[in-house]
Amino acid sequence: MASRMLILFSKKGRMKYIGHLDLLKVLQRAVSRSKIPISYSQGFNPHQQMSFALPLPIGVDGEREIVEIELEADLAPEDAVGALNPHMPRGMEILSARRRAEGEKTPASKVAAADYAVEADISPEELELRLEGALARKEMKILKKGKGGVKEIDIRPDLIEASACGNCLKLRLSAGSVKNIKAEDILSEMNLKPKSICRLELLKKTEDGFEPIF
Amino acid sequence: MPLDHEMLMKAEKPGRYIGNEINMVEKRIEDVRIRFSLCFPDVYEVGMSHLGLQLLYAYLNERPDVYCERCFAPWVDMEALMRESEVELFALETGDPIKIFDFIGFTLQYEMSFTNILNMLDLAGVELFSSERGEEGPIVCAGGPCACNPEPLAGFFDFFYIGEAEASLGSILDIYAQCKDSGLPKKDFLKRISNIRGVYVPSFYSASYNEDGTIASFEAVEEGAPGLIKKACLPDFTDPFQVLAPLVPLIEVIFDRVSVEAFRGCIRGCRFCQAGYLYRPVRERSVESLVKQAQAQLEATGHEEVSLLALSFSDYTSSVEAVDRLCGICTPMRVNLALPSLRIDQVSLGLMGKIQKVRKGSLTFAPEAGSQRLRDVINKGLSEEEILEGAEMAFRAGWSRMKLYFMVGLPSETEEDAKSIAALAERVVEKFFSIPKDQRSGSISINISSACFVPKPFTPFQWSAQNSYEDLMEKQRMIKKSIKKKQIQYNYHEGKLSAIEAVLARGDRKVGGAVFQAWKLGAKFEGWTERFKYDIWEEAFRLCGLDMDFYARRQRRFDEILPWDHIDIGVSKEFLIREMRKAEKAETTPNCRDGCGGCGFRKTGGGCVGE
Repeated sequence: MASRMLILFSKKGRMKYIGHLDLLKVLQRAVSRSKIPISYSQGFNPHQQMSFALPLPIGVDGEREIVEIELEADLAPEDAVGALNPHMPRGMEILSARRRAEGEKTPASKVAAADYAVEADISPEELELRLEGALARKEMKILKKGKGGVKEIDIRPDLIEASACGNCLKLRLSAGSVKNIKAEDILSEMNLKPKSICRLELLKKTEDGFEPIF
Repeated sequence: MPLDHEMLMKAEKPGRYIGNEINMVEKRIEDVRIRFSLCFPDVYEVGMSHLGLQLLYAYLNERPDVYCERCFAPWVDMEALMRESEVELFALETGDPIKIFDFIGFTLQYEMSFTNILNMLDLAGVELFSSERGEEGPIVCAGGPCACNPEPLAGFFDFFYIGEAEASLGSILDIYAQCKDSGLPKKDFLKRISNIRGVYVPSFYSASYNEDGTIASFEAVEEGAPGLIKKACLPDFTDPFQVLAPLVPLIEVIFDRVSVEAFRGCIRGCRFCQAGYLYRPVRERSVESLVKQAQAQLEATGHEEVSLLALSFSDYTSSVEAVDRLCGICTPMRVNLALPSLRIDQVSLGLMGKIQKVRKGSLTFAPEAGSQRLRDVINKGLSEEEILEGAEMAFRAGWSRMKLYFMVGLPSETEEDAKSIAALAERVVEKFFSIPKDQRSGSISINISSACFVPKPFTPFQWSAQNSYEDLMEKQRMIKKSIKKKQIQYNYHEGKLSAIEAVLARGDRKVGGAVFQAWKLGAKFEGWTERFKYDIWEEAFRLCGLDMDFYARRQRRFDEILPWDHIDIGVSKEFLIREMRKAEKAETTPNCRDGCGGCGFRKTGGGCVGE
């Protein structure tokens, strides 16, 4: 009987240079090798039923990314983890899996924000100053290319939270299908060149804030 | 890894440079004696699509004493970044610079990659000319189809390997290990291997020239070096060394699939086709071996497609059985089976019908020439009736899209021959409409494309003159004008690239100087049409005082010493001359199964189908 399973994985190191569409292939082939009973779509070119919560930009590490797969036979989540891990390229790991309950929304439709950790190339004092400056701003207008051409948008409301610790900057930004802000957009407003960016967690909106989807 | 985050983020497709693929071989450097850098002189996506690279990688790494790593040409953006940061060319597996390896081995797949070889050596910090490389640094060698005329690259390589690696590459490595352990100089190693079948050490030979530029003599100048270099070749291909766990790229490459080789060689003997002579004798693989490999590769890769490779798969004796058994494996795994090289006949359509049960894609066939006379000149072994019958069978079976490949500039081609390409395509369209509507489906679409003929060594046309660039383009324009039916699309090729190919393919040692000049003038990735610069080559040849027409557009005499005469691929010169004379009279030669043409292999006991 068909079931949907959420899979939590990390994508780091060299694997951060693999883009979203290529990652899809990497995971599809890993699933094929693992022989877990994934469902295929109908039609002339059947493909595996697999969808991501939110694409991860190239060059960004992912600590806890989420992909959903549809299975045509039941499989214990821990068995899925055990079957997939030997087929992951170095830099990727399956961390955990769980069934998605009947009626529970898809991860892609739940994503509202994401947490990031940024390693900055400036001193902790300087970072503190720039962060204060950014948070003090009432608006942060950037030019964004969309379907209807280039338009100006204000991303200040999408900088939900930010804090600095040493040379590490933590950001909580709007993410998902409604509004998706790249960490790099905020960083260039702060005139910061990151040494590395890591997406720590994908979050859903709750009544009193945000909490992890997985 | 020698590239930092910033460099990778600046480059297009950083996934080209990170290695880390599934089935990548990892060894500890302390555990091996020989480090081999397998270099493909093109970008990652091209090199990783190449079956030979996967085969050599597996073959070399099977030896516990060897660690073979891969190296590709960085794309121009990354090359600029590497030169700016002084990063030397490195191997993907360990990230170590290839100049510290024991061997740098290039595969020579197409002439237009020659400048990339020089660029890669330069980027690696290795002297380009073998005479300038001292005892330090790697042995630089090459193999692959273009090594059958190694002369244009003779100055750059320590040795060439002519033929199939699986045959005697192992002995070369054994001798190298001994020489390395005894601390012998490079030359001693080269002397020791120079009598191994397939090995050609160019510095052991010297050429002298006549006043008209042709070769006066070509001789061994090193004692003990053989006068004739015989191709290394596997006597038996029933169950050859095979790749069971191919590398799975992490980014999209040109051919994203696993490939299994059904047989080597070709029974047909098309007179323009170098591969048809180079890979003789025809040696078939057992279905058992084929199926075993396909299954293992699919399980080890998770690929969505498996391709059956051969120069002409429909000539495989057990083609039906092979396709049936592979379909049996592929269908439950939801894997596509691809048959890339088929002839227009009942067998092929039957095979295509098995693998395309529902949706009928496009069928691709290569009549090569438009007129019957010219098809007989090239010994295509295909009549117009067969082409039209084949098309009718395909249309009745539900196909309506067809690609037809042709060549322009074939020896003896007239304007009428060229125009008949359009006429043949039109008759194929008429054939479609002659079938009652309820017995065909879809709307007819014929895509024809023409390539410019390049005369190649070891073919009966190795003496022929290439058409001028103007003639090639004029013929293609004429074909375009002759096409009246809207169901036919026509694509044609830029002739200038083929002109340079012709010079490099049949060049002598002097041409190496022009390759070097072209590289200095900035030629690289010349196989990529948008990067090809004809004027660089013109300038390079001018600087060397060489005439391109001498190499490409001159009708050579049968008694002339050809630059590749010291290489013996197993097909005799007498046979090629006989074939050329028959071509002049538009006489055909039967395929190897219908009658032995006496190419020279039979007498060597090479296990060909004629026996």
